[in-house]
Amino acid sequence: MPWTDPVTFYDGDPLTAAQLNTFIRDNLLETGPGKATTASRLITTANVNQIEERQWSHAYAGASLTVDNKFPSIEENEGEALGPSLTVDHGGQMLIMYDCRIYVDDETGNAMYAPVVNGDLPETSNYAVRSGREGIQRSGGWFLWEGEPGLAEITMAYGIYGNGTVASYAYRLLSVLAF
Amino acid sequence: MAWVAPYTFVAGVLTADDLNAMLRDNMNETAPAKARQRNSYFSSTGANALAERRMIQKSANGQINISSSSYVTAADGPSLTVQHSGSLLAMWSCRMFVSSGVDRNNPASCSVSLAGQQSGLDRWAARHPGDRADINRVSSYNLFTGLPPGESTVTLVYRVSSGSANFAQRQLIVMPF
Repeated sequence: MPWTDPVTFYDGDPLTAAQLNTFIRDNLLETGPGKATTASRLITTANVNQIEERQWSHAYAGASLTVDNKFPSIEENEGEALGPSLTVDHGGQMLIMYDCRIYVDDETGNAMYAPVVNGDLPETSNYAVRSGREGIQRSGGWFLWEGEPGLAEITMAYGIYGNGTVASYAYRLLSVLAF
Repeated sequence: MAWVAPYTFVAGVLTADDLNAMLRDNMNETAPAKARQRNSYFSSTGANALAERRMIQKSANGQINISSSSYVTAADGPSLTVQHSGSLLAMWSCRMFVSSGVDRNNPASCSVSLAGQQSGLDRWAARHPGDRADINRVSSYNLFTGLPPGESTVTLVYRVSSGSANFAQRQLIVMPF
């Protein structure tokens, strides 16, 4: 039931079961404890006078992935994105955090990677992690995605910017906080 | 209206004042009553009080060149102003390229400043090592606490210790509490 603005009561007016059900039972079911189902979740707003329970989602791909094609490419293995990937129920906003250990074999190009939401790279490479340093380093980034509420699939795109570089990505982490 | 601690009912007359204080007014202090838009969350503002807050983001993708050894702002920021109850989480990142003269002991830095603050910014700065002319995205964050509740403006600031550096695809996220 949707939230109903509580009415003002007056002495002498009869207190009906319908009022109690609307203003106590139904409204209490719309509050945070009424909506909470599982530990460690976040209460967010879904609309005017409407709240929802949301949660962190987390995915990890530990294997080293070697890439020599141009950014952005969504690497696939037999048609499956290599990920890490997540499917998240959200209300129109997600904080997406991503990082991994990158190895670059020379400094003539950059290793890049960035999250992909429903098959689209948000604003091309503006949020992509870049590493142009020969050797190993852990790099990460984050961005706040906004769009229509619903289910979103988030995976990662990898690739090279520039010439002559081969990069490897390992210990790849993806975390999403839905609002 | 402020939250009223629920009292224990005893046998007798239930008055309109009881219902208005304990039911109407307290219901209006709960999260669904205060929700005004989607994608927000609730933060406590004090004892028995909540406020709706929202995480926001701003980006400035253009490249700027910085040669100042003290932190300076850019005309396009990015900068964000939020309402909070005394704390906020700032997260930022940018693509950095060291163009000349910076060494590993004097890195290029990208930090955030509250209300023009100039001290302590290196403590949470994201840094480019500075010893080679390579491109890297660097990221950092800081939880600011103990702020006077109200409005704060968070601004990305930049500096190099020597030489100059380019900063591009600059991004700032603020989560107020």
